[in-house]
Parts: sequence; C-alpha cells; structure tokens
Amino acid sequence: MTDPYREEATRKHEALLAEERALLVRAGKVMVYAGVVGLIAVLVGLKAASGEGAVVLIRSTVLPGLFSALTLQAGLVLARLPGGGRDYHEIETAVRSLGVVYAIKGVIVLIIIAVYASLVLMTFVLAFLG
Amino acid sequence: MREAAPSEPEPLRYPIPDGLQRRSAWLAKWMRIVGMFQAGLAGLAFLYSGIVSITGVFTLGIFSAGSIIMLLLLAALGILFRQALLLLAAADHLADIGGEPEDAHDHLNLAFTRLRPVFVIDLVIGLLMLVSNSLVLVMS
Repeated sequence: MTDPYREEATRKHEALLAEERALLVRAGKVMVYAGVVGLIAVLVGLKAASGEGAVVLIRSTVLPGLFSALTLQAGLVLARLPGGGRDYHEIETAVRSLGVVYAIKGVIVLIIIAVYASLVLMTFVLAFLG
Repeated sequence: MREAAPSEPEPLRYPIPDGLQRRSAWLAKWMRIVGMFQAGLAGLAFLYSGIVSITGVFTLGIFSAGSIIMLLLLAALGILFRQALLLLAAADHLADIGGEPEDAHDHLNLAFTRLRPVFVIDLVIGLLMLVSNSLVLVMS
C-alpha cells in the first residue's frame, strides 16, 4: 500500500501547468504588440500635435502613451514567465500594471459621469426654478 | 517549455497567494467600471447607428459610399461593444480568484483568455491611431 503523504512530498510543485503558462505567455505577447504599436502611434502623434495646447497634448499623447507603456510592461512580464513558484509574483506585477491602466481609465469614466450627472441635475433645477 | 511526460504524475499546485488575489480584485473593480461605461456607450451608439445605417441602405442603396461608411462605423461600434463585454467577463473571473479558491486557477486562466482579444482590439485601435497620426503628419 502506498503512503499518500510520502507520494505527495515527492511530486513536483508548480504554480501553473505548462498549457496554462502558454496561455498567459500568448496573452502577454499580444499585450507587447499592442503596447509597442500604441507607443509608436503616440510618438508619431506627438510630432503631429507639437503646436497644440496642453489639454490636447494630454488627451492625445500623454494618456495613450502611459497606457501603452504600462500595457507593454505587463506584456513583457507575462511573455517571459520564468516557471515554477515565481510565476505568481510575475503575474502579480503584470496585474498591478494593468490595474494602474484601468484605475486611470476608471477615474476618467467616473469624472465624465459626474460632470454629465451634474449638468443634467443643474438643467432640472434651473427648469424647476424658472 | 517542458511538457509533463504521460507517465509522470501531474504536478501539485501552489495556492494562489493573497497578494495576487487582492491585486486581481482591485483590477476587477476598475475593469468593471470601464467595461460597464464602454458597454453602455458603445451599445447605445451601435443601436443608433444601426437604425441610421438601415435607413441609409434602403434610401441610398447598399453600394453607395455613405452606406459603406455607415456599415463600417457600425462594425467598429460592434467590436467596441464586444470588447466591453469581454472586459466585464474578465473582471468577473478576476474577482472570483479570491472568492472561489478551489477554482482559482481556472478563473485566472479564463480571465486571461478573455483579456487576450481585448488587447487584440487595442492593437487594431493602435494601428488605426498610427495610420491617422501618420496622415496628419504627412498632410501638415
């Protein structure tokens, strides 16, 4: 009869199975391509929008550039997963970079919703008052 | 990458650490906000431009320039709507990593399976942005 505890101790421990790691690496490669293309587009846009104001510059180059750079960073981490127990640490780094991208996008979305909601509210209040 | 031999027992899994679970939940929260906003906006725009496109196709004919542009716009809005749905699905799986520890690995895989086409769409958007910026640069 085999001892299940002894058997478990001799088995290899992994964070991800080979096919799971391959899936994450594929996703990382797509993120790398998206990041690189985004950064090139931003650099071209920066040249085109050199005479524009600060708001246009932030909207058309700074924010897309930041998003592309963070996506590229997350993609590079995922595309080079080392294997073994360190995979989780690398995935956490990638998730943190993506988290910053979506947190900034989320804050922008919340600001847009707040501005529109306050405009609608003001319209109703003004219509009610006079 | 090393594949496990058929006779070799499947390796044991380390549990997903708390740090990754917390970060995934944080990412899921923001992803859901962005996904819902994008889905609402792209969905409404898709419905509106769908009605305009159908009207245009009936009045101008399907092969007119106006109808083709409207149909292309409709396709782009449909892709943006699909991207928002994929974001929401990925956010659900990322949030479930911490909520369902026994299925955590499956949720992690499913989250990145949903995120891959999201970034393919971002890649296409980046290419379109590159083309339009290059045109602006050449014209100026």
